[in-house]
Amino acid sequence: MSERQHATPMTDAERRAVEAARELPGAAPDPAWRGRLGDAFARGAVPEGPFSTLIAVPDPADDGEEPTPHVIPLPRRFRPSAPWLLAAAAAAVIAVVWFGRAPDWQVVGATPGGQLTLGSQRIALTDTKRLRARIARGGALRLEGGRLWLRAPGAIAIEVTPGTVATLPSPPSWLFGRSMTARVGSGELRITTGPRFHGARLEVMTPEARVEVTGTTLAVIREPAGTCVCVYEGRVMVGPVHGDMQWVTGGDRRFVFADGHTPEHAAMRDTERPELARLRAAQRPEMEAGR
Amino acid sequence: MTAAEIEAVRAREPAALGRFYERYVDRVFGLVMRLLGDRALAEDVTQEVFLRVHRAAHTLDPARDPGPWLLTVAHNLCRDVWRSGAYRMARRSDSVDDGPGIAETLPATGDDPPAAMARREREDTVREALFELPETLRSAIVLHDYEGLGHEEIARRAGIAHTAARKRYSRALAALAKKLEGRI
Repeated sequence: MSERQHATPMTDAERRAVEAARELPGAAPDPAWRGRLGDAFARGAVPEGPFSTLIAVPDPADDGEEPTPHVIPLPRRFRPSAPWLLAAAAAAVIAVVWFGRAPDWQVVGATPGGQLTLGSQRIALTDTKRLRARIARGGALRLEGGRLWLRAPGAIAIEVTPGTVATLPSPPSWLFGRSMTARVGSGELRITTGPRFHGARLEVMTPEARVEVTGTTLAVIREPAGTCVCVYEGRVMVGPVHGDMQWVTGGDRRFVFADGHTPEHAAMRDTERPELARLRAAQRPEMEAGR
Repeated sequence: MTAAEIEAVRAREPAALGRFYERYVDRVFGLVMRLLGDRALAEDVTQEVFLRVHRAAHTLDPARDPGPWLLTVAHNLCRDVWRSGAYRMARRSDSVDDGPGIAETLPATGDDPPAAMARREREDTVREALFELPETLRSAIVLHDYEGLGHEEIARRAGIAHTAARKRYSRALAALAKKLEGRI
C-alpha cells in the first residue's frame, strides 16, 4: 500500500505499528469445521446459526425514555437556583428510569450436559454463574443438549429446548419498553406469562410465522417444514409473516408452512400438553409470588 | 471464477458449490476472524455468509467476480454483530483472547524456543492493541492492510466519503501506534 494513500505522512511509530500489524499471521479455520460447512454448503444444507435471527438488542443503559421535566414557576423568593432545578430534574429522571428499567433474565433451571452459545460465548449449563451473568439481557443464543429455564420475575418464564437457535429480547420493563420481539430460527421455546406481564406484548418471529402473545402459555416450535404454535391456555394471534393473523385458543395449534401453503388449524399436539402443563405448574406460582 | 463456473453456482450444482466454497472460505474466515477476534463467533458468521450465499446464488452475475460481494456480506454481518447487545456485553467483560482461537492461529515454525516466544509475545501485543481499537478503526486497518482494499473501496463499503475513509485510516494508525508505543 503506498504511503501516498495515507491522509497525512506516517510517523515512525505509525510505520512500526502498521508493519507489525501486517506481519500478524492469518487465522485458518478448523479443518473439521471447514469440511463440515463445505459439505453442507454443497448439499444446500447449511444450518441457520445464531446470526440468522440476529437483532440488535437495546443497550442496557438505553432502556426507558427520559420524560421532559416540567418546572412550575414559583414566587421569586422561593425560586430555586438553576443548579438545584437541574439536580432535581436529574434525580427525577434517574428515579423514573431506575424504577422503570427492565429486570434481568434469571436462570431458574438448567439440565447438566448441555452447552449454550450466547453471542460469542460458549457456556456449559453447569456454569451457572457465567450463565446468569451473560444471559441477563437476552441476546442471540443456541442451545446444544440440555434444557434451560429462564424467568423475568413475575412476568414471563421461558423454557429453551435442546437444538434451539433463537434471539431473546430483554425482559419487559415496568414502565417503558413493554413490547418485545423474540426470534426462533430452529428448535422450540415454551413460554408462560405471569401477572406482571399484564399490558405487555411479546412478538415471536420465525422465518415464516409471526406470533403475538399478550398473556398465555404456549409453545413455538420451528421445524424445517414450518412453524407450529401450540396454545395450552389463553389465546394468541398466529399467522404468516406477511399474511393474515388468526386467534388460536387454548388446546389448539396452528401450523404455518414454510412453503407458503395455507396454515393448518388443529388440536394441539399430545406431546406438548404435558410439557406445557409442567412448565405452567412449576413457574406460575413463582411468578404470582413476584419471583 | 469463470462465467461458466458461476453459472453452475447459480444453478446450485453441488460440485460447483464445492469449488466456490474452496475458493473463498479461507478468505472469508480470515477476514471475519481479524474483524471479530473470536473463533466461535467467526465460525458462526462464516456459516451465515455461506448460508446467505446459497440462498442468493441465483442472483450472482456471471460477468463479475463474486469475491468482493462475498467479503462485503461478511463485513456487513460483522457490523451487525458489533451492534448486537450480546456482543457489546461480551466485549465489556472479555479480553480478546478469551476463549479458544487466538493461540491456535500461530503457525508452527522452526525457530528456537526463545525467539518463537518473543515473536509470539510481540504478535499477542499487536493483536491485543488492534482489538482495543473501536470497531470502525480496526475495520479500516483490516480492510486496507490485510484485504488490500483502497480507501475508495472502503469508503464505498462503509457508505462514507473517500476523504473520510482516508482520515479514518489515519486515525486508526495513530491510535494503534499510541497503543503500541514502548511495547514493540
